[in-house]
Amino acid sequence: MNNQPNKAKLFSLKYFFVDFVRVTGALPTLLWYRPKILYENETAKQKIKGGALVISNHNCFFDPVYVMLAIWYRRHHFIINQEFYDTKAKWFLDRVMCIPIDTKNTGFQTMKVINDHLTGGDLVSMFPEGHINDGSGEMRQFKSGMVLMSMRAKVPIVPVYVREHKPRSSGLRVVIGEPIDINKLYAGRPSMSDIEAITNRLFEKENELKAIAYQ
Amino acid sequence: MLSRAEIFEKLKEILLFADNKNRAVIEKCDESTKLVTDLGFNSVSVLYMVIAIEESFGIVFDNVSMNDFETIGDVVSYIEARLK
Repeated sequence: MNNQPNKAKLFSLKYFFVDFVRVTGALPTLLWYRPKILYENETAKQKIKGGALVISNHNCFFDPVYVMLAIWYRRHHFIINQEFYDTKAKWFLDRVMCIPIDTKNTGFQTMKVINDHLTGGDLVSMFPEGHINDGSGEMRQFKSGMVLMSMRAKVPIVPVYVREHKPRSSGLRVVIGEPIDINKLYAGRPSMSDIEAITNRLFEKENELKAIAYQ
Repeated sequence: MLSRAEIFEKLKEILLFADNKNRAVIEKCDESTKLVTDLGFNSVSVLYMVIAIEESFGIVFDNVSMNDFETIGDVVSYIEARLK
């Protein structure tokens, strides 16, 4: 597992735009949302180093901003739906390092791009529900692709829960869970049944974080 | 180099390990067996199969997507071409 962040990337022109957006956007969003970051336990408080896959529930369009506020010290590569990417937003999304994925016909090249980011020590963030949930407060069933990504790149999964929150209101709460290293849970290659079981476990974990968020 | 029949048998082993709910269908499968309609594969199952093939055969799937593989025979042909 790559646990070392790539320090050569810390000050690079390649990241000028995304860092500009992060820095200029941080203060107003912090003042506006006044986020409260909670942690599942002491281990979850440790800063995420090296490659990791961040997963979060998906309540609204602003969730990537909330996840970035919670894990502010790392650059995120968000996995986004190809349909959203193929719009006028493409120019911006490219510069904030989003990775488009065609969920109807995933190209293996896309999986390699994600794998290269993870093995290269980057933070890849995604919403395993696939879409924004229906607003009932219940999460959609998770898709298993995240487990394959983590398994292949041998990086941990960091569960994050964003409490349902109106975009114009303050008092945002985000809970960060303990990283889960599925490669330590399964020696060798897990079967598809194991992957389904891990996916269900991650869904339960999100519900545990949800309970903390609403305490 | 592996023959087409050997590639098929090795692929079958991968599928049997991957999907232990569907053993009976996989054991009877042939090259015309369809991944989605006959074996009930979804996008994650196909990705799993690709990762397992890459590790087992030492090849890389490049510039292809899930819809390029309709049958087991398509996968065998792809592996065969990459091994050449």
